[in-house]
Amino acid sequence: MKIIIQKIIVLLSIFVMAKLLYTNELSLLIHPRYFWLIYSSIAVLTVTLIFNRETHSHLKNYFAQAMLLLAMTMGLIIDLKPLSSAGQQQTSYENLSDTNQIIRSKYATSFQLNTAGMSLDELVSLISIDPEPTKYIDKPVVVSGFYFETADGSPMIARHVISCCAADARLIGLWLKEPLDLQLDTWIEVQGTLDLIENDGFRGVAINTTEFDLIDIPKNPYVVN
Amino acid sequence: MMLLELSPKINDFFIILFSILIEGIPFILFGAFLSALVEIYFSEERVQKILPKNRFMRFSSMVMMGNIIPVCECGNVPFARRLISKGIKPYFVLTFLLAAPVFNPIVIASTIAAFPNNYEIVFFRLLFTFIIAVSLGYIFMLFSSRDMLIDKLIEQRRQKIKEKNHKRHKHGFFSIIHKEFIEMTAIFLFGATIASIIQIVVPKELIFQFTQNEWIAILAMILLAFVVSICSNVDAFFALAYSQIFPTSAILAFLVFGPMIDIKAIPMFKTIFKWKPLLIIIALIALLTFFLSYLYFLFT
Repeated sequence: MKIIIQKIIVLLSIFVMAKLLYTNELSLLIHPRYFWLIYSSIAVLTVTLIFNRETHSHLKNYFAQAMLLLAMTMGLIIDLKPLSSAGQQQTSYENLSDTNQIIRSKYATSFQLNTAGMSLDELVSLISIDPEPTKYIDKPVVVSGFYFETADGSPMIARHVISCCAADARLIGLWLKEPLDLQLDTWIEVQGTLDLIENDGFRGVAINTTEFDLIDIPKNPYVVN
Repeated sequence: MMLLELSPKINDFFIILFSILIEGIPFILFGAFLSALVEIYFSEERVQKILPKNRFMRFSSMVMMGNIIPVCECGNVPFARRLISKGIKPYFVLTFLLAAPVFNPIVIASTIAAFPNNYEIVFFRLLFTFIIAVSLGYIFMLFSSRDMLIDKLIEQRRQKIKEKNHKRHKHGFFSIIHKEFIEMTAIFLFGATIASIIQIVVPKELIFQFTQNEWIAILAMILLAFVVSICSNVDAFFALAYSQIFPTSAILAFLVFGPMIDIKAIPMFKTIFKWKPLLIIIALIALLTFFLSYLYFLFT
C-alpha cells in the first residue's frame, strides 16, 4: 500500500510538470531559460518509476506525503492565471519609481529616442538610463501591459519582470497622466504621447493617453530579464 | 477538462508556490540521485578514506565538495544526510551544507554572467561563504557537536552500524531516489508554502524604503534573501536587478546569506539538526554575513 502511494506521488509529479508544459502555464512560473530542467526531471522521474522494483516502502511521514499528494492534485486541476498586481497594491508612487530601475541595463547599448516602436520594458529601461523627463515630451508611444493603480491612486500601465521564477517577480511600468475607467490587471494597449508628470516633488515621464484598446493576455505575460 | 478558477490573491499564492516548487524539483531530484549513488557505491571506509585527516583540510574539502557535486540548497540536504549516515561528523556536514550552494561551477558561472565586469562580487561571495561555512563548522566542533542531530538520524546511524554485521535486505538505487525525492519534496513544499504566504502578505517593493544607509541596506537584503527563497543557481540574476539601487555591500550580503539559509530551507535543515542548534546556526550566519558585508563597505 505504502509503495503505491509513493508511486502515485511520483506519477502525479510527472503529470503536473507535463500539464504545465502542455498548457504553457510553465511560462507563468519560471524563466524559459530553465525549461530544460523540467524536461529532464520528467525524463528522470519516468525512468525511476519504470526501474523501481521495490515492493515495500519505509517512508513513514504520512502527513507530509498527504500534503504532497494534495499539492500535486491542485497543480493538475487549477487553471493558473498570470500573477496579478494584488501584491503591489499597497505600494506608493515613490516605491514603484524605484522598481523601474531593475531593468535599467537591458537596453543600455542601444540608446535611442525613437520611442514609437518600443515596447513597455524597452521604454522603462530607456527612461531609467536617461531620466530627464523633458527629453521625452511629445514623443509618440504605443505600449501594452496591464492597468494598475498604486495605493495613492497613481495610474500606471505595468508588466511583471522575472529573472528566475514568479517568486522574484517585480512590477515595472509607465505612469499614465489620467486614470482610466478600468479594473486593475486589465490588459490594454495604450496609444499616446509622453509628457512630464510631477507628483509630490517627484518628476517623471507619463503617458498622455489618446486611445486605448482592451487586448488578450499575451502568451508570455512577463518580461524576462 | 473543467479546471478550477481562483480569485487573484489565491491564484498569486499558487503561482509563487508552484514557481518555487517547480524550480526546486529538478535540483532535489539531482540531490536524491547523488545521495543514492553514495549509498550504493561508496562504503563508509571509502568515504572516510577519500577525505583528508587534517581538520582544516577536511573542512576545506567539505567546502570544495560542491565543485564535484553541484547541488544548490535544495539538493544538498539529501546528500548531507547520506554523509551523516556514512559516519561523517555533523560539523563537517554543516560546512558542506552552507558552502556547497555557492562553491559549485553552475553558481559561480551564473554569478560571473550576472556581474560580468565585477569580479570583486564573485571573489568576495566565495571568500565570505568560505569564512562563514568553515567558522560555523569549527564553532560547532568546539562547543556542541554532540547535541546537533535529530534523534531519527542518530537512530539510523546506530541501525547502520548494526547492519554492517548482519547482511540484510538492501534497497535498490531507484528506490532510494524515490524515497529521498518524496521526503525532501514534501518538506520543501512546506517551506515554499510559508515563503509564498509571506510574499503575498508583504510586498517586495517595501524593501526599497531601506536604502538610507549601508547597514540598514545590508539588513534589508539579508531579510529579502531570507523571504524570497530563490535558488542559488539563479539568485545572482535576481540580485543584479537590485544592484542599481542597493550598495554593493548589501548585494554581497544577499548573495552570501541567501544560499545558506532561507525560509524554504529551514524545514529541510530540520531533517538534520535539532531546533536549538538550527536557530543558533541561522543567527550566526546572519551575524557573520552582516559583519563581513559591513567590513567590505568600510574597506572599499
